[in-house]
Amino acid sequence: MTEETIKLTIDNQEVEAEAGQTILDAAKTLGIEIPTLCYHPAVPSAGACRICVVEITAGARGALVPACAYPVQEGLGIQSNSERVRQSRKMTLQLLLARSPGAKIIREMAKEYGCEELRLERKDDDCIMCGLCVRVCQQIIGTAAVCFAGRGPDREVSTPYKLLSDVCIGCGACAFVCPTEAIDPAEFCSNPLEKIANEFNCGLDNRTPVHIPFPQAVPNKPVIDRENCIRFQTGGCGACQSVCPAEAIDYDMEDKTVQEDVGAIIVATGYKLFDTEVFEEYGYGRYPDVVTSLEFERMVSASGPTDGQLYRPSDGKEPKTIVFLQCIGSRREKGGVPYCSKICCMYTAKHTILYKHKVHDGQAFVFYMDVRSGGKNYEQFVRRVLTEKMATYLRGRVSKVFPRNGQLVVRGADTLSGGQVEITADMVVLAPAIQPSPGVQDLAQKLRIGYDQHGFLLEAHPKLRPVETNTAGVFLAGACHSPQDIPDCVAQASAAASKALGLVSHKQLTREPTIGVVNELSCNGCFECENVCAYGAIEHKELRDREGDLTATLAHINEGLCQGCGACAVTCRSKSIEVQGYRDDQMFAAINAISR
Amino acid sequence: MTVATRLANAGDLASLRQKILAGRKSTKIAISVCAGTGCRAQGSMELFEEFQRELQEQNLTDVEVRATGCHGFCEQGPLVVIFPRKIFYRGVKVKDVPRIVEKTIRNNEVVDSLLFKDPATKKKCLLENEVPFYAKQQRIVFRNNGKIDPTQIDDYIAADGYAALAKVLTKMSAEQVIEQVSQAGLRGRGGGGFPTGRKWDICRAQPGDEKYVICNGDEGDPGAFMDRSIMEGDPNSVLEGMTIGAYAIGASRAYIYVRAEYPLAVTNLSIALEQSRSLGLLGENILGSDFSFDVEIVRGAGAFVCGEETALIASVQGDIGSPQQRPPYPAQAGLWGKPTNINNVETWANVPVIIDKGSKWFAGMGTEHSKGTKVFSLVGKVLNTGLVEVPMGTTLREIVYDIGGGIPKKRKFKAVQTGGPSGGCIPESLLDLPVDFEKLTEAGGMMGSGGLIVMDERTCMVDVAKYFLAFLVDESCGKCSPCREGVMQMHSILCRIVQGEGREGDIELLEQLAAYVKESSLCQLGGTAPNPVLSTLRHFRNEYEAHIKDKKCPAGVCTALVEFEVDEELCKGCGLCMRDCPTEAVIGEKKQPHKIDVELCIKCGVCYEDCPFDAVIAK
Amino acid sequence: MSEEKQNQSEKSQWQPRIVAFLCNWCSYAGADLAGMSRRGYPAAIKVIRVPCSGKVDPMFVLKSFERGADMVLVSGCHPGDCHYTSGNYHARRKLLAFRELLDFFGIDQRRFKISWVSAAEGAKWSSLVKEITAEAQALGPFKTFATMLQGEPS
Repeated sequence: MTEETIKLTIDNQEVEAEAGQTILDAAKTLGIEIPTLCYHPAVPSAGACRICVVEITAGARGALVPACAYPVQEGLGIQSNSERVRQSRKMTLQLLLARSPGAKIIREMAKEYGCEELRLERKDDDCIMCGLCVRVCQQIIGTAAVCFAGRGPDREVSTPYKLLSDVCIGCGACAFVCPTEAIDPAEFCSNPLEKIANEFNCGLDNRTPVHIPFPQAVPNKPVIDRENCIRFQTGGCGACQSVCPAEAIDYDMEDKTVQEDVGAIIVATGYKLFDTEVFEEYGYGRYPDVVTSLEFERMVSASGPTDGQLYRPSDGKEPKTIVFLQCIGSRREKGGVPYCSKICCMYTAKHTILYKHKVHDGQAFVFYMDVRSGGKNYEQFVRRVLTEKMATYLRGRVSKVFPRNGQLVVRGADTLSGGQVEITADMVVLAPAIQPSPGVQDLAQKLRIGYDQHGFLLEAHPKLRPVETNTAGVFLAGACHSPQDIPDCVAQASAAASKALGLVSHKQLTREPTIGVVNELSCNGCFECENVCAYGAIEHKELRDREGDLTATLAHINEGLCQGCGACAVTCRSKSIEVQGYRDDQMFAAINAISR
Repeated sequence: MTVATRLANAGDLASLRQKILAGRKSTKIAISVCAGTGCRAQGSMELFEEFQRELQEQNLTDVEVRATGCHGFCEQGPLVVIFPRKIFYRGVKVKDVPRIVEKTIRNNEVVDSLLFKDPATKKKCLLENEVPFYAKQQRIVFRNNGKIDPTQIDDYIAADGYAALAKVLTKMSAEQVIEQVSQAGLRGRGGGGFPTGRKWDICRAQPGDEKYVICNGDEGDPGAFMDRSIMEGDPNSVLEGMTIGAYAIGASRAYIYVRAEYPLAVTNLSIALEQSRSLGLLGENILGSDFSFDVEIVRGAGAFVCGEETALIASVQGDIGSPQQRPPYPAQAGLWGKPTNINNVETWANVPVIIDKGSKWFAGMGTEHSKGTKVFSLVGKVLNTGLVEVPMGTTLREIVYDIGGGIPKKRKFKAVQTGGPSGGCIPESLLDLPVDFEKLTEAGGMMGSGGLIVMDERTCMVDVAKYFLAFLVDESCGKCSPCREGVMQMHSILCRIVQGEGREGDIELLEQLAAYVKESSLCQLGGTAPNPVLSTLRHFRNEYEAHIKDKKCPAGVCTALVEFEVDEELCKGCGLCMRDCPTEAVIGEKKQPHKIDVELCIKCGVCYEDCPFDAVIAK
Repeated sequence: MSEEKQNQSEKSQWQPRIVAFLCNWCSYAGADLAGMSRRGYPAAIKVIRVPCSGKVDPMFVLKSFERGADMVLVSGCHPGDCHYTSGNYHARRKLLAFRELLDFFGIDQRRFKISWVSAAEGAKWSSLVKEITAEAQALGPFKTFATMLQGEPS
């Protein structure tokens, strides 16, 4: 039964299919595209929307049948795009367009079939009644929280008695399969899930528990956020598993500790932004229209939460006046960090240009301490912002941001004119200081590499070994080392990569000769040294006589493991261990020489 | 009623029949009161009780009073037939009871005023079969209706009931049964006309032991009530037919799907089930054979679409009554995924007779491809409305004029709508069409479940199409786009047209939509939904054009397009219209021609309907 | 000139000699950073590089005093930051115990310093050296061993 193959012809091409497959399945193997709306590979077909109709021309009664629900039959002849089929699809699209003129997918399909003109009486319901939501909820999730109610044109998708559903687990499978984005479980679920802030967009929009962390993520695959996943929290749902055609979802997978032997480690742990909320004078966290530069960056990004439209978070209006505040936390000995965060001057200059591109009649102001534009073409870039009047630069610090009449007043000093200025703005953008990622100290201690008081990791030598650390084989790249812009990061990362490659590309590893050696004549085998060795380099060496009888067990140092710290040498009571290059006689000679 | 003892074999059944018949003298007087829904609504149950009371009072204990199933001539109800003479009284009231008992029962005299008067010949008809309405009918399905008490299985058995089942179980193999039904040429009476024998054979050939039989009693066409009458009046014939079918197919369980709006049918079926079970005519080892079978009643919520087989199955399973894409067909994977055979009530009721009297006898009636009889519910602008059972091949003219008595008020016949809401309208030119499955379809109508709605010249065909589409819009399940959206759009175009807002191109758009809905819909509800539009367009296109181009409704129905006027020559000044006009728009003196004030007229049409001289004309 | 004054003037011209044992990874690098950052610190300090502060044998300290050092400094990574994981812990435990024993030798404990300077702390190194040099200056020359030597029968 399972091995049964069926031959049929689609668009004059012969194809073999398995019993139980549909015409749509068979067409897919031929690469023939048939449009669908009420079809989803993981959900049982209904043949409801009729957009996928194809014409049977041989092997059965000549008729239009839905490809998604019609099983393959031996000798069937199918035309997937005949005039009759196209006419039927056109009419379906016209009807659906009249019903749901707001549905994007319908508009697009209608355009493709050249029937965008609305000839019929119009309704405004985004739901095209395809029933995918109902089917997925009943047959895949097994919940049946939504169902059809009413008949004919009054048919609608609803919860029983249109009440808030306490059966709905809020999994959102319905919204996921809906071709027209017409359903939102939050509207009928009595216990809707809390919205999950999209971390990549700084929480400016929301994401689902299953999500691709960010565009161009590597690997570019979805992950399940267990904290928010209904399956992991309640044991229900399982929608993603049942809809995944590749059967790639495995709920039993656990986090694993992976142990790998590596020749080199590159630390590239990045940075975090200074918590600007601690500076109460700027009002971040209190006034929604005070945002950080990173949030602003997402807002104006074409792939961001607003598709590149710039809106004020408070009321969605376009900000006509915007003020950028530099050095929020940077170059601030008290309460902030003393260093310059380096990249803010340049990205703020870029932001003023982006802002002008979005809001042509808008006005931008920048409060700055110094404009630091060191770098190739950087100065010219800033110059352009100034000469093309993208923004008004004011040298001075801001003392207070406060709301007035739905706007924000920025009060600050203009040190060049020597006066106080007040700007009434729609939006304020803060440029927070850059700090190392949290937890980087723990990592540094594990790797035995140094870091400074701010937590930035230390290079072995600031000039001569800028990407190496004091631990052989550990290299640094990017903002874990210091605030860096993209060109610097790329350069440093390239350098670290080539250093790492240089290290592992040799057949033999060159190492320092300064390792411990045991004087076997004096060693009495007390193994105090074993207690202090951090590397487990002390071995037990058995000495035997000619008869093979054990005469003594002595310490022996494994040359591969020993790092040459000398702890054993100091501990050894019989002075039987010496670190080569730091032998006691060498040390005494040095002391002698120096103390004289 | 005999004490229920299980009938161990066919011989027991025969002797039971003998026993019942022996207890009944052929000369015994019996009063048969129609207890069909139509007559009940007109008070036949009160009549029944009154008869019982009166007879008791007069101590006439050997006279039997029987509440029977529908006699068919509902127009004239309540109907009473006095056996053995079969005197046919119509329109009997409670106050007539003493008179009937006194005259007819005691003295064997006829109450003249209660007889039916043929409006054509003005002759009084004494007996049922003298009434023209009955004269041309051939009652096979309705063989027992009006004669037996549906709540008494004895009556059915006495009328040779379950003899066919006994014959099947003792003398016939399943193949022989199918062979006989096939040779009889019985076709599905639910509308599709699929050969019943072949349907059974397909289901029989399916692998698996678990199969189901379903009786489709979801009679949804407005104005059609033949299935109801059978279920109410002769439930055992349906059960017997189903048992025979199940034996042929190899099923052991069955369901009868009845709409909950038919409470009497449910009651009578339940009684019949109980009685036949206690006699061992249902249940384990029927009549001592190794065939076991039982039936359960499922009540539907009255959705038209549940008449569609897959939707019906969904409804039996407790799901929303929406059709499924076929294949798989119900015969392959139907109820609970098992092979299932569904037949209509009327089809099942035909089965015992075919077995009883043979396929040759049955095939002797009807046309080349349509055999036997068909029950029609004849309604509309016709004098005698009611249920009509005629052999296939009877012409529409015979049904409308001979049986139906023609059009009232001597108005002109315009069309007859056949096959329920998704049927079509057949014009006068095709009145001599012999009615069978193929001919009706060719003419743009369909057999459907057998609705016949007669329309006269004062019927607007656009309005008719709109009416039926409105029904279909409401009854579409809404699953597939063509039916849900397409029929709705067609309806709104028709609404526009009757409102006088029809546009150039509307007819073409209607035709496009109709063709599309017909071929793209999921089930046959959608597949036939455009028929009212298509058939009216085919035969009455000029009416559409008049609505759209001239903004006129020729039949004077569409109020937005009509102005009423009084023909001064015809008006006799009787004042009837003046009395009834709700807005006092009719003015004039008595005996003088009236006038209609166009300003005040709200075009309700009361005067138009009222005028005995047809002096009110619609322009 | 009174002896007191002479002493004072001697002191002011006199430069102490401080022997510093610096671990290779933190303190030595920190001192290097101070140099690279052009931070000045007194030349009184003489640096001996050791792999780890844990490599500093008490004998090295005694030897330094014996050879004329006025002060000895051992400096390593901050606790927890040892390049060898735990070398500075060994050093801390050992040398703090050892410092208590200095009195037994007749050595003023103040002449022996232990500190933690990381590779990033060039400034700390610079100020540390300034601080201990000043302290060594105030303590004056370490004479105990010299006297002992002088007291030896020649």
